[in-house]
Amino acid sequence: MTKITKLIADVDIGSIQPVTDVRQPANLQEATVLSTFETWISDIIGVITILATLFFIVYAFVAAFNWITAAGDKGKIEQARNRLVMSTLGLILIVATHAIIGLIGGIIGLELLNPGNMIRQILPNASSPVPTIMPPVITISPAPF
Amino acid sequence: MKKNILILLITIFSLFLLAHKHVLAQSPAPTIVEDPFGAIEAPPGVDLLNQQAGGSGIGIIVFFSNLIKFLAVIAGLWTMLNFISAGFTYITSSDSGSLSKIGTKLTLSVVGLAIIVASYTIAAVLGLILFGDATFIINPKIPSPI
Repeated sequence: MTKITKLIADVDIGSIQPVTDVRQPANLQEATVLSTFETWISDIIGVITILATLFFIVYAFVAAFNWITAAGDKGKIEQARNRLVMSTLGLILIVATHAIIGLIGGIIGLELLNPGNMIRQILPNASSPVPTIMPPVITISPAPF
Repeated sequence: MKKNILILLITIFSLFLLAHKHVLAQSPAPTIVEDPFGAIEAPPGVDLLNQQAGGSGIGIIVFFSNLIKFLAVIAGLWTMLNFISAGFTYITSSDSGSLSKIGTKLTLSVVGLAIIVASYTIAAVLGLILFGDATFIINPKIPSPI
């Protein structure tokens, strides 16, 4: 009987490359991947905020134009005023949402603004609840304003 | 006298050699052919893919990755065409139904493009959550006894 000495080896069949190198994790370590994931969410929030400001500018001008062309019509003036007030409130809410989410997370005891840490706790090979080497704390950052 | 002793010694040595001929004779070592049929070599283009995969491996995932990049370029061009057609629709159409439809189309194409670019990170995070290894999906390894 010859002893089977060969072990089952993994055949490397190459790796998938990112479509673009921008906004991708520099390496596939756990901390890097999770922080890149959070950076993605931050970027999406930033894009949403920028879109909101652009739409606010357009809507404010449209509301002002409607106010001008209302010509004393009570209904149209009311509509234009509502549009202006609501778009301003919406913009304030967009900017304040980050803080509101943080407040809610603080009240209910979940790190809503640090989803990478929550993911890290449910990983299958999570060794201990308190990691020995603290990973870089990168959380969802507010919109750049 | 000396000459006779020399001849005697030479004769004895020759007899010794003759007697042990089978030991001293060096037979040619049989050359064992490892793979008599040889291996099938990769075609030139596939060979380049295999080199990118790390030499010994098979470059199927590299090929797949290149296809994904190509499809991403197509998706970008398609998004641009969507924007152009949306512009035409905004100019020519006053029907509010088609206007809202084209707005949804624009939003969805931008979201789709963002998802395509983010898919690498999403695959890494999914591999991390489901398999505990970020490279599980991105850098797949096939278990093989070879």
